Order: sequence, then C-alpha cells, then structure tokens
Amino acid sequence: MTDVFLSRVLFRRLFCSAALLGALLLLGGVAVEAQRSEQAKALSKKMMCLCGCNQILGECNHIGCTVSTEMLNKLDERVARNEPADLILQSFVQEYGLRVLAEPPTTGVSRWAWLMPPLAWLAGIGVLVVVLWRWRAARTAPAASRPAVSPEVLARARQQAAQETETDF
Amino acid sequence: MDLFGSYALILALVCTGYAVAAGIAAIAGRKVLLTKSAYQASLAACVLITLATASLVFLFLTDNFSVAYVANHSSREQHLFYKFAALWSGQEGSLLFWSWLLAVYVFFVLWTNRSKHPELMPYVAVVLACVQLFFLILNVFVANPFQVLGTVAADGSRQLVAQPDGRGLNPLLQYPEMVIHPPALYLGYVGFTIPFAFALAALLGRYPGEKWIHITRRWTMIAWGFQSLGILLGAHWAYAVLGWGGYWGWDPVENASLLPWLTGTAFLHSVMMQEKRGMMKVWNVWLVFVTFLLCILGTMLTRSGAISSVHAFAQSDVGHWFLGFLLLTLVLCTWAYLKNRDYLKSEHQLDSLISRESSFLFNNLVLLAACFAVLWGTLFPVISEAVQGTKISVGPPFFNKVTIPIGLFLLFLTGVGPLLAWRRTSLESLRRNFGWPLAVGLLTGAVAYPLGLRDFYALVCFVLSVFVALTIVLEFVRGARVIRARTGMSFLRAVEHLTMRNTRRYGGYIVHFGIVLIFVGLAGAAFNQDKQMEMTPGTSMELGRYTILLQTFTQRPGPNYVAERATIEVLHDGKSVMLLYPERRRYNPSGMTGTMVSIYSTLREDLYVVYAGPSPETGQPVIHAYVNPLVKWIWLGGVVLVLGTGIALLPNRQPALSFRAVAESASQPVLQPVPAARPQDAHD
Repeated sequence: MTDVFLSRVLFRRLFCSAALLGALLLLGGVAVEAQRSEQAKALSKKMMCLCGCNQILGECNHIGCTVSTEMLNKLDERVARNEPADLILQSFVQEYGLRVLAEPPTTGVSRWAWLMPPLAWLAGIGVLVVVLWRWRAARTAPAASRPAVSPEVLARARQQAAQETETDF
Repeated sequence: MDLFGSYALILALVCTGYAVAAGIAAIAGRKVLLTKSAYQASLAACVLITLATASLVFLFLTDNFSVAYVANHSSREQHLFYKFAALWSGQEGSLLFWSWLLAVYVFFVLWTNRSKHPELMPYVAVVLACVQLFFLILNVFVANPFQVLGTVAADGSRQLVAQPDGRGLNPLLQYPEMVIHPPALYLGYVGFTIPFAFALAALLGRYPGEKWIHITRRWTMIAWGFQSLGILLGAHWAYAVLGWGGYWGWDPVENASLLPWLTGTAFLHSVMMQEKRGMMKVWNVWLVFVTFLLCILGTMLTRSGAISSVHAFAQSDVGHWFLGFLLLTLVLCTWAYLKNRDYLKSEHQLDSLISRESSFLFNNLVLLAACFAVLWGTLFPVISEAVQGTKISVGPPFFNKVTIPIGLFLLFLTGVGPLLAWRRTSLESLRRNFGWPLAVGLLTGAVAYPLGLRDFYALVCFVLSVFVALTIVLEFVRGARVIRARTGMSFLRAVEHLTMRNTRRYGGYIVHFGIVLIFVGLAGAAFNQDKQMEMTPGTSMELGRYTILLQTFTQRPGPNYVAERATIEVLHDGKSVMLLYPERRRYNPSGMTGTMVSIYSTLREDLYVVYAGPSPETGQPVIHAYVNPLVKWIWLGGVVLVLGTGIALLPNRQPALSFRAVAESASQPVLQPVPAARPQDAHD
C-alpha cells in the first residue's frame, strides 16, 4: 500500500516536473521566437528595399515585389541562425553594396552626410551673430553725434512707429 | 484635334517669344505702345495654351489612342474623372499643365496690374514671359504631348496607327485625391514664379521701396497655401493608397516639394521685416530667388531620373533642359544682384536681441537649416556616387535624426515669435505672455511622463504643442476680451471681429495652430504598432486595443478592375465597432495591381488594415494591420492651416466705429462712440 502510495506521489511529482519543464521550454521557445521576429523587424528597418521604391525594407509592400521578399527571407534565415545584428548587416552590405543601408555609414566620404547639416547650422548661427553684431554696432555708433530731433522728424517717427506696431503679426 | 493642339502650342511659343523680345525692346527704348503689345502677346499666349490643353483633354475624353500620350495614360474603361486627371499623369501632359497654370497666373497678374506700376510691370512681364518661353520650348520640342503613333511604310510615307485601347492610368493614381493633389502642388510650384518675377523685376529696374513686397504678398500666400495643400494631400494619398502604413517616406520627390515650402515659409515671415522696418532686403530677394530655383530643381529631380523614386517620371532628356534653365536663372539673379545691390540697403538696425525682428531671424535660420538638411540628404546619393563611385542610400532614419530636432525648435519659435514686440520686448511682457503657457506645457510633460510617454522627442513635442497652442489661444482671448469690454459683443462675435480686423495677423495665428495640430499628429508616430499575419476566414489577431477578425474573403468586379476583398470585423473590448474592406485590385487592361487600404480612424488612433495579397506558400490572404496614433490630427491640422491661409488672404475689415449702448441712463439707448480696440493693448 505504502509502495503504491509512494509510486503515486513519485508519479505526480514527475508529472508536475515534466509539465513545468515543458511549460518553461514552451514559454522559452515562444520568447525566443518573439525575440527573433522583433530583431528581424528592427533590422529590416535599418535597410532599404532595392527594387527602386526607395522604401525601408520592412515597409516595402509592393505586391509581387520579389526583391524585398527575397531580402526579408534571407534576413529571417540569418536571424534564425542567431547571427549577431552587426554581422547580418555586414553580410547584406557585402551582398548588395552600401546602398542597402537605410542611413549613410559614419565612415569615409559618407560621414559628410552627417557632418554637413550641423556644420551648416553652426555656420548659419555664425552668420546670424555677425549680422546682429553689425546691426547693433551700426545702431549705437552714431548716437553721440546725433543732432537734435526736429518736431517734423519726431512726428514722422511717431507715425512710422504706429504703422510698425499697430497691425499685422 | 492633335494637330490643332500642336499648332496652338507653336503659336503660343511664337507669341511668347515676341512678348520677350518686344518687352526687352520696350524697356530699352521706353516705348509704351511696345510694352502694351508685349502684354497682349502674353495674354494671347495664355489663350493659345488654354486651347492646347483643352484639345488634349478632348483627346482623352474621346479615347483618341492614335496620340501616344493618350494611349499610354488612358483606356476606354477608365472613369471619366480619371481620363481628365490623366492630363497630368505623365511627363508631357504634366509639363503642358504646368505651362497652362503659369499662363493663367500670368494672365491674372497682367490683367489686375494692367494700369498700375508702369515702371515695374514691363520688367515683370518680361521675366514671366521668359519662364513661360522655357516651358513652351519643352512642350513643343522636348516633351510634346501631341505626338502621334505611326508607322513608316515601304514607300517612306507615314501612317497613323490607332490602338484599339490604351494602357490605362497607373492604378496608384486612380484615387480621388490624385485629381486634386497634383494641381494643388503645381499651383504652389508655379505660383512662386510670381513673387520671383516681381523681385527680379524690382531689382533689375531698381524699383523704389517695398511696393513689390506689397503687390506680391497675396500671390506668395496663394502659392504657399497651395503648396501646403498639395503636400498634405500627397501625404494623405500616400497614406491611403500606398499601403505601407505611413504618410511621409522622405522620398526625393516628397523632399522636392518640401524644399520650396520651407524657403517660401521663411520668406513669408522675413518679408514682414522689410514691410515694417525696411530690413533684410537682400535676404528677402535671395529667399524668393532660392524658392523659385528650388521649384525648378525639384521639377528637375522628378523628371530627370537622376534620383530614384517611386514617384518619379520616366528618365528623359528633359533634366538637361531644366539644369540649363536653372543655371541660367542663377547667373541672371546673381548678375542682377551684383549690379544693383546698393539699392538693397537696410533702412533700420536691430534695437534689441529680444524682439520680433530677432525671432524672425532665428525662424529664417531654422527653416533654412531644415531646407539645407533635406536638400543635402536628397542629393547625397548623387554626390557620393560622383565622389567615390558608390551609390549609398539616405533613407528615413537619416532624415528623422537630422530634421526632428530642427522641427521642434521651429515649433518653439512658432509659439514665441509672434508674441514678441517689434523693436524690443520687456521681461514683464515675456512673463505675461509666456508664463501660463509655459507652466501648463511643463505640467503636461510632468503628467505624461509617468503615464508612459517616454519617447524623448514625442514628449518634447507634446510639451511644446501645449505651450504654443496656449499662447495662440490666449492671444485670441485677450484681444476678444478688450473688444468685448468696449463694445458689449458676445465673446465669439468679438473673436470673429478681432480676426477680421486684422486677417493677416490672426489668420497667421490660425495657420500656426494648424501647424501645432500637425506636429501633435507627427509625434504620434513614435507609438506606431503593426502586425502581419496569414489569416483564414474565422481567424483573428490582436493588435493594440483591437481584435481583428477575418470574416470573409471574396472577389468582386469593378468598372475597370477585379478586386479581391477581405471583410474584416474590428472588435474592441469584445464589441464589434466597425467592418473594414481592404482590397487588392487588378486593373484592366494593363494587368497592374493596386491596394485599397481600409482605415478605422478616430482622434485617438487609426486602425489601418491592408490586404497584402495571398501568401506565396499557402495561398491564404495575408493581412497587415497597423495602429497609428493621432494621425487624424495631421489632416485636421491641414484643414486648419488652409483655413488660416484663406483668412489671411481676406482684406481687413475696416475698424468700424465701435458703440456701446448706455442703456441704463435713458429709455432711448444713447450710443457713445469709443475708440476702436487695439489688440496689442493686451500684451504690448
């Protein structure tokens, strides 16, 4: 009787352990699968479809676009093999050239793509500062030698001030 | 009719050539009669181009497939609506359409100014005629829409060949918005020719004062309004038709339309500096020049095949012509500037760094920086290929990284700029105008962050949007309160009165409010979700708050297509909220396919469902669904923006003498005149 009881307990424990292990494996599997698809999705947004549509690989939805389908299949395969993201991108660059990347690399001539907009912005600020400085200097310089203001000039200035501040935004 | 159209174009070319020659001779010899003759020639050219355009439309409507352009862009089964829209669907027709729009603009400019500005208008007429001449040369010699299909017989004679049916319009273009979007965009592109012509004419003729700015103000706003409308309609078309779940892909053709919009926006702002303070004259002239040159550059990019784009026309020689015209115009503008630059001296200097003037300078800097970044990214693949022989891609991630910070700074200036006073702004005024909006904006951010709004740019965008929206609302409230206090009007009536008394100012605020709504919609993209799944009838998938249940999958015939249609039930919290019908159509006779997206749109988010086609492996329908938050705000913002532009175009209502009924002192109301309210009293 005791043996039967023990064997039942053992069986139950074994069954629970197996079920728990199965559930963990299943969940783990699902998690891995979800992670994979997310990784593939993220990588597909770092590359361009090369069918000429100028769209991000993961967003190319042209019906019958063989180029993006083939590229996405290759991407899925590599992600399924757990290859690192950098290596996958590198392999795509080797196969399709630099134009497969959705944004220019930060090396070589391509780095100028990134450098020029902030440089232009800085140059613009520089020009603005010079212009403001010159305007301010021009305004303050002749102040000492300014003649007394006649009533006509004053009236005209008031009229102008009214025109400048009265209307329009 | 094709011969009629061809001859009309040739005659228009001759008339415009004469208008250029006679106009130059009239300016040189100061001959008034010759000037009038040049005007008449330009008006005649307008009539002739209209006849040529009408004859091409007639050829489309009568299915005349002996004309190559008609055969390539229309078919018998095509809806009448799209037969008309086919006019601008290809290279040759769209260039003719461009010529026609320019001719109409020229007609109105010359007609409305026929007895005004005798010193300026001859120059304007010549500049406009030169631009018209360039497009007519393209229409006649390079991209003639009236070319007929024919064969050469053994004896050398040519015989017309009429195809039984045409290839039909590209399915992607068979959508109602494609009937409105290109004309709106072209009206914008072409419309910038008018301020350009006036600016160049004023510089060439050393026309005194800011008159050319006053004359072109409305023309510039019309062009800008149409450009904005065209861009937004294009974005909506991309969203509703292309089926990739987005509305802006930073495609070179999209960028090409944005470039002149950015410089045009800068011009609309900086022009006020010249009007009010006689400053930034050189800057304004060059902004107009650059805007026009960018319009031409954009057209060249679209049509030359230099840059690959899903929107671009077929590769052709037309790009060389545009490049030549672009360089010639640049040389002419530079020469005119160098020759007469002393005429563009500023009349005033800056009084304070915290002033409306300096905010306009920053606004211009930011807009120009955005324009440069977009232009640089668009051209970089070509530059890279020329320098290192390797073509690289510059896609949305680059543009997003570079332009989002610039856009947010621009949004900040949208709120700050208009409330700074001209010349100088006191700290007290700053506190009064910005204290509450800033506090509420920051509070919004403080509340939104713990609620899960963690995307940095989206958070900043929402904070700034609240801040800017409040500054605008407060500006209306303060002005309306003053009017209400002085006249006894209802609040809404006071708002209307305030707006109509200074349409440019308050129309501008409404435009700014539209921009805020658009930014809110753009920020929503940070929270997009999507899911793609093979589905059989009866299966469902979960996305965001929704359950998407595929009910049936059927085929149905249309007028010139056969559609595969999925019927999808959308459930929210177990309750059915909507049926969606995404389709995939195969068009006759071309056999081309197109998607019809189905969207369940609310202010909170769009559920966007695409039938992506059958799976190659299983043949089961593949459904791709997206949840795109806040997209509707973009279209609402567009409507508000266009409304604001329309209001800004209206003439100011004269500030009628205001009256306040002093009823309490007498049985007969005594009307007491009070001074008209000044909205600035509230904040300046």
